[in-house]
Amino acid sequence: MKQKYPNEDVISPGTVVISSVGNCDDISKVVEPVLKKDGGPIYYINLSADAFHLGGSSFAQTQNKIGATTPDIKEPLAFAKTFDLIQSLIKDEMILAGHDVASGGLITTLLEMCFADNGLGAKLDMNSLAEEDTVKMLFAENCGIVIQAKHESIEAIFEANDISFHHLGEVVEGDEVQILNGTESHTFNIPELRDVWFETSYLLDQKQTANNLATARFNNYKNQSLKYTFPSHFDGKLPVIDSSKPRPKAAILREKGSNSEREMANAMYLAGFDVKDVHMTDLISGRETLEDIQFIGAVGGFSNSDVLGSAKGWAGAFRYNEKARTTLENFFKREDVLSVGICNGCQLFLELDLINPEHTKKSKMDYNDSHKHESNFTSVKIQKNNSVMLSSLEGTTLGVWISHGEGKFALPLAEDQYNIVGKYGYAEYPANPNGSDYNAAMICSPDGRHLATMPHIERSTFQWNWAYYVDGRKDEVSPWLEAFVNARKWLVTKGIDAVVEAED
Amino acid sequence: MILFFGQPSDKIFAVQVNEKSTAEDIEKLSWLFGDQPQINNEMLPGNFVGPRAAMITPWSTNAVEITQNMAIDGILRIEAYQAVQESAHQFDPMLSQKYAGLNQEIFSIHVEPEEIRHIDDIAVFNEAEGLALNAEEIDYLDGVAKKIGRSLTDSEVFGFSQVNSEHCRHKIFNGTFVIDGEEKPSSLFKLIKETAKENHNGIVSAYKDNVAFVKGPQVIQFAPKTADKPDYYQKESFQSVISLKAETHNFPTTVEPFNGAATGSGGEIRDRLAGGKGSLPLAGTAVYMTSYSRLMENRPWESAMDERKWLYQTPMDILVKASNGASDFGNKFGQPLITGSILTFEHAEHARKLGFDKVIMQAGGIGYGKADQAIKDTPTVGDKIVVLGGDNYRIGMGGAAVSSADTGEFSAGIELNAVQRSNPEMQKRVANAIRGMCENEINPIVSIHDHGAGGHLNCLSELVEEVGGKINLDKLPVGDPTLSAKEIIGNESQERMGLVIAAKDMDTLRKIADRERAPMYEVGEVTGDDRFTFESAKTKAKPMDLALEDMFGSSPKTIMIDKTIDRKYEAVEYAVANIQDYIRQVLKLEAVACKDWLTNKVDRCVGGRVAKQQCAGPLQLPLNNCGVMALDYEGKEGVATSIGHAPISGLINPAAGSRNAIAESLTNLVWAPLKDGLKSVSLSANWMWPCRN
Repeated sequence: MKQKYPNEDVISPGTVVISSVGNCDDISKVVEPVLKKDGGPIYYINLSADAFHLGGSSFAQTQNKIGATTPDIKEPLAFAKTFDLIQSLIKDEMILAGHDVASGGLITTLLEMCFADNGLGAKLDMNSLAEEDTVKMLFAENCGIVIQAKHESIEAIFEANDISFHHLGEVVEGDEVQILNGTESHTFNIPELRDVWFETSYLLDQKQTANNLATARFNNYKNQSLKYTFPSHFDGKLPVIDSSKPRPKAAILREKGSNSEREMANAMYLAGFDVKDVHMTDLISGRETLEDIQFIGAVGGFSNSDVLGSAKGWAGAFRYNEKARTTLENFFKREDVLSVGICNGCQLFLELDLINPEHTKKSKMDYNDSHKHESNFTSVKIQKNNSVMLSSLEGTTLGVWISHGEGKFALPLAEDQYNIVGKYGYAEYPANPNGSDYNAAMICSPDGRHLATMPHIERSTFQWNWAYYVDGRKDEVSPWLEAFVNARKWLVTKGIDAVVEAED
Repeated sequence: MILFFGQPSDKIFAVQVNEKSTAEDIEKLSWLFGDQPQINNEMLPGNFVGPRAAMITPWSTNAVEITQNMAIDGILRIEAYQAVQESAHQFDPMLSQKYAGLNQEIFSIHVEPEEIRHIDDIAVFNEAEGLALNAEEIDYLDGVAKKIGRSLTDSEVFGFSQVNSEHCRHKIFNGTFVIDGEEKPSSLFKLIKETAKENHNGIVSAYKDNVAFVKGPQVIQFAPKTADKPDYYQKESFQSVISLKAETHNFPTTVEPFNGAATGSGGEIRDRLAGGKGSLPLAGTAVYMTSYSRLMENRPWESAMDERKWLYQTPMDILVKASNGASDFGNKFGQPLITGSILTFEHAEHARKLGFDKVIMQAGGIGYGKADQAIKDTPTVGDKIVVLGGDNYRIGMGGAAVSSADTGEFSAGIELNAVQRSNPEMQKRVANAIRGMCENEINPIVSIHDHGAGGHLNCLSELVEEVGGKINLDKLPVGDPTLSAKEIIGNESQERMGLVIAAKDMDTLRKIADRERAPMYEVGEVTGDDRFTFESAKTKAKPMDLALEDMFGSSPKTIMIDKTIDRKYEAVEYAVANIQDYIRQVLKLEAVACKDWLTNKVDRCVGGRVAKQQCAGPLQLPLNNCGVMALDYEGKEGVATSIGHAPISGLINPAAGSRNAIAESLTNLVWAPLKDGLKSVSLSANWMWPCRN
């Protein structure tokens, strides 16, 4: 572990990297480091059971020092006991927010807990820590945690378990974290320090992002706060499927390099479909003809690694294979069927010209303006539309995953020539990740039966797989599942023998 | 011959065909290249940058397969060339070369496959090939040659160096330490294994398979009823085990960051595919450590040490390219990356320079398997040995040996030859075939290993190390006809798995692999003769034919002698009046600063089972403590993972630094409710320590 140069060696410090794993038995209860405006007090627990030492800290590093003494973990058994108590408090939903103290020390932890929302501040009194040296207290990297409790009653539990804790203060609305220690008062401005914290990311992002979009991201990230409008009829309940009736038949369509078939299949299944797994090899060999299928979903991924263009090879397999081409053509000739293409499937639909075959100028998917892969939990505003799957969600704004390199809709005609079903919640980068014409995220065929969407609605079907949900809800499914339920209901009206939902 | 398509002033596609193309083929190819016309010339003047002649790119592999799907026959290779100015030099010589004109020779490399060599002077061969064998091992090999009454072949010596490398055998970790004249009672490995003995908790298997397994909950498999034909999804309950793995790819990432990190991620994923009789990856993690990135002048801590004349790439380039590589692999393979860490560091004191000039790139991840498939079976005589995945190319020869040595010790030629390149889409197909087997009602896989360092040699010998096996050299898939036998069996082409399966079950695997387009090769058989042999059925040549005891029998005791140096580092000086400046500096250090540049390019949602990833809140900033994946779509059971390290603290007090590393991983993990609290936690440690300085 050293680099040899002609005139010197540079030695890497001895390093151990620890990876941990454990069975999380309630994935909806994982605590995030985001303070809640209407929550309870903020507490600090020093898990090192050691005095504050600056050695080995990021602060020491910025002063070009290693430091003379480093904190240790003095009482491992007490550490273990606190660990298990925090676990039970989380299970009892007594903890609203939590963060560890590590690189950057306690001050970094406190600031970070205010970063992920606008208007979050805190008023904190550090005197109970009994450390006169404020720099040492704030920058030492003694192992510890900061929590925001639901209520002060947590203190009695700490006391009963003999856990030493410090009540630091409260969350306040505003832009500042104020810290009192002895006679000192320090005020830290959150929006300004959040930009300082973002600067390094911005500088590295510049090296990987085209068209100066790293600057746009730096300017916009704090102005694109996720805000949702849920459908008023949404009850968050899993659709109830009558298991005594046959389910209508759907198929997921995949190619080598596809990687999103399971989540699409699951969304269809939850909505009441019987879902068939169909690979391109099944279509090319003719062992699958899709004749008994009413709904197909072309899935996301990187078919053929997207060489020569996204979904180009996948489209080629359809165009130039007699059996596959005939099967697809026959399916799209039927008027009693539906389809959805998501991400790579959306790119396939456009490459095969399945959405607007009547247009003389072809739509296509282009590289993102950033010329890089974009991964983000963003939002989509559902427009007035006639899509079978999404018209009932018109007027809503919903959170959704995007993850793509070529997601820019290049739409050569006037906007009114397209059925744009969904637009990104903010038109600017990075909320709009790709620079799509007309800010388009989803389009559908003139009759509304065929939908092409870059956002992954099928990966955003649960409260727990949204990266940010509305506080205070406990939904079994997210509003997006309705799109798949709508597909089933439409097919039922077309006389396909199928389930009648118990709730209908 | 080679056909050209495109625009000579912009971009050219060169297509190598082995027969006359029909007009219909030309029209299809023209469509494929975005309606680019064929250029009816055998050669094109001008200057171009394109892939090195000897290197069939993964891009070509994919493009050729597309032509096969489009029913075009006889395409051997397709590469793309960018027109450039004569003076152009902005390209990576590792991957590309400049061509003055394109002609019919651009794919020719004029290398004849080397014959099998018999090595009489192993010490000289060791030096010339950079095999990193020590004197004791050379003696041992001389002894083997004497015992079997013939000189060893180049493949045998090379193979021995691979299976006995530090990378594969952990010689230092199993060695004897003599500190300050006192021999330590326990090896490092024994010490580490002691932790699992003391606190066994839910460990199902550790230290003996490609991954460690811990007991998992009862969960629901949502999968098609069968995997060998179009079939309907169904739900089925099973008892799970949870896997954890982390592996470093430091040396390849230092030399060629994109491919180094990409293949690091890919290799680690293959480990998680190869637990027990097959297991499935869920999510990845990544750790990067480099010297200072020197992004902007406003960072005084970056100027204390002079910038070096970097041997390969600058730290800034390594950070961007390595994370691009790891991200690209996961994005294409379809594995979300849900947590990670970054550290930059340099320091000079005591006339000693410290820094991550030799970088750390660690790929890790979690996954799951079925409890009743968690332990491998022993192969029995007559079982088939199968390779799933891509062809053999001249890639990564000697990576296992070179990676354990100090960077810069070998000539650049050897080092560059040791770097691999990635094809995540190929690995996805192989993974799908394995998924099909694991999700079957009965999984007939007997044993499975990934191909990593040491290629077929390590993988296939590990598969049969208890019983012996014979591999037919002619059956190994060769993508480059100029490879010698040694190169075929030892190269580190990626995206391959080796497995053992009973003859009667071959048909099931064949059907699933064909459907997933996972190339499958039946390459040999389990023999039960306690030998490991590669033989060409055609020529009867045996590049390798050793008794297993001779191949694995070397147990040189590594003895590390050292004395304690008590280094004191200067204390930090500061004034409370500067506290606002301090926080502004600390927040810019890569370890503390926002990691949006990493999370904004890596998939964090694929599979629909990501319950917690890096970004939080209405502003979606990367702040979360740990990553959590759901084990099924039922919304309750999952797997949490986190990372911890504290190497700078460890400089002052190594024991405290290690404890702080563990504590950090735990204070990151504590925010996920775990079934049995701390008793549910298992840790994996990757140790990277400079030895013998």
